[in-house]
Amino acid sequence: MLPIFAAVFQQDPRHKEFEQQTLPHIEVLYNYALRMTGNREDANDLLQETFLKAYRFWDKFEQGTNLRAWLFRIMKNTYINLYRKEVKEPDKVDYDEIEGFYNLIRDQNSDDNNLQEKIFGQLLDDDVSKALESLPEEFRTVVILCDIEGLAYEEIAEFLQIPVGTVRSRLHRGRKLLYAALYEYAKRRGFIKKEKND
Amino acid sequence: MNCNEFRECVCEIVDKRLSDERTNELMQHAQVCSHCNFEYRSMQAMKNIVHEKLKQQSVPAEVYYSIVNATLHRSHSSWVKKLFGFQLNPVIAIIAFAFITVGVYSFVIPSNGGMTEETNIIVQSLKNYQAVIGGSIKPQLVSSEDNVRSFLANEVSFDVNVPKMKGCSSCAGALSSFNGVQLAHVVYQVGNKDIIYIYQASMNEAMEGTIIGLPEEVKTELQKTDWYVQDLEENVTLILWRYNNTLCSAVSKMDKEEMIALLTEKELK
Repeated sequence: MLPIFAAVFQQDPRHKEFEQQTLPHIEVLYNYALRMTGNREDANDLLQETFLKAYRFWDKFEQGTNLRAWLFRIMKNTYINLYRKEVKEPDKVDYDEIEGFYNLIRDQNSDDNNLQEKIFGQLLDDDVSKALESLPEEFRTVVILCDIEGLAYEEIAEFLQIPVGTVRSRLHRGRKLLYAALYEYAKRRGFIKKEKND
Repeated sequence: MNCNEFRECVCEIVDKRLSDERTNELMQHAQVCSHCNFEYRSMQAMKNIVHEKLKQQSVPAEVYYSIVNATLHRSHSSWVKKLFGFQLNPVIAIIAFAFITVGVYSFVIPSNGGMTEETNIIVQSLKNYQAVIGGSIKPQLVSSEDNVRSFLANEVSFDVNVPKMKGCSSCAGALSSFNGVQLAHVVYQVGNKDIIYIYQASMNEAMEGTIIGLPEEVKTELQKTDWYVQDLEENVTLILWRYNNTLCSAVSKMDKEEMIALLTEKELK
């Protein structure tokens, strides 16, 4: 390479370090943003805002600690600040009520070994996406991180700064809520006979 | 074993976090308890459906570039400003990080002389284009077409083609070599989001060499008309043409007709 172009490459070392370390995590953050916001435009804004904040506070990041967890926490806080203020949270889910509904499905279908395939095999990607978006944030987050991003409970616990046992129980509840939501979609689409639970 | 104990652990069974022994113990309960069996199957179904239906998405190129660009602009010392005394246009900077070592795909290659994916210019053009879009390739120079042309022309023995392109908002260039064969790479951003990548090599090497090459039918078409157009995957178009002693191989996802119109403008020939 010509010397002049070597000179061109002398990038700000702080920026270079930031870029080298943070950009490998961009995919996981983008996917989280996409599932939390439910649309690409907001996900793009959230991702950009997260990286800008991370860059601003790069000096505060303690090298050797979990960078992905640090970035994730910035994104989560940014999401809360940006979207909780602007978008009124959907009506709080009455978990007990939904669990009751799940138990009802279970009681009426526990002998049907093919139920899951019948219900869920035919659902559209969009149905699953919308059902996931309908979950309260605390449950949605663990389902996204575990089932889409494939993270271990311990890493999710570190991201969210909660005990591993809480990750496990949120995941259990989140999957039950998702089940109930998808069951409703399946019923609406006629994959399940309405009279069965009506 | 009771139902509460099983249900407390059901997600850990599904997520394969327990030992085989513990899993077997719990599943023995599920075999005799229809409610717990349902719980296990429904949790497994949820994991599967989310994993299968909600695939991981790639970060769109324009988002990737905008992030790199935004943080770069907050970098207190711009190398462009230092070197040239002016600030790089944000649009140009969008693709500044688009190239990370053009030719990464080209450097490591077998040299058996046969036509492999690594030696096939069409395959390499597509891979490099994808690397540009995916943000894994960085430019060696982002500047005007004239500056990019001068930079590349000083380093290669064939005539570099860096035309002024209508609607081009930025232009970038890079050099690499493939088993001793010089290659030039040019990227244009057209408008806000369309990107055209052009792979360039000596026509002689492309048509008669043993290190890089083209399928016979493509060579025949090029010899006849000096042009070759092919639809690649996912609406990606490849256009090959001769420019003096240079083979140019352009790849883009932009509208095919628009791409052809841009590349066949008078000043490109």
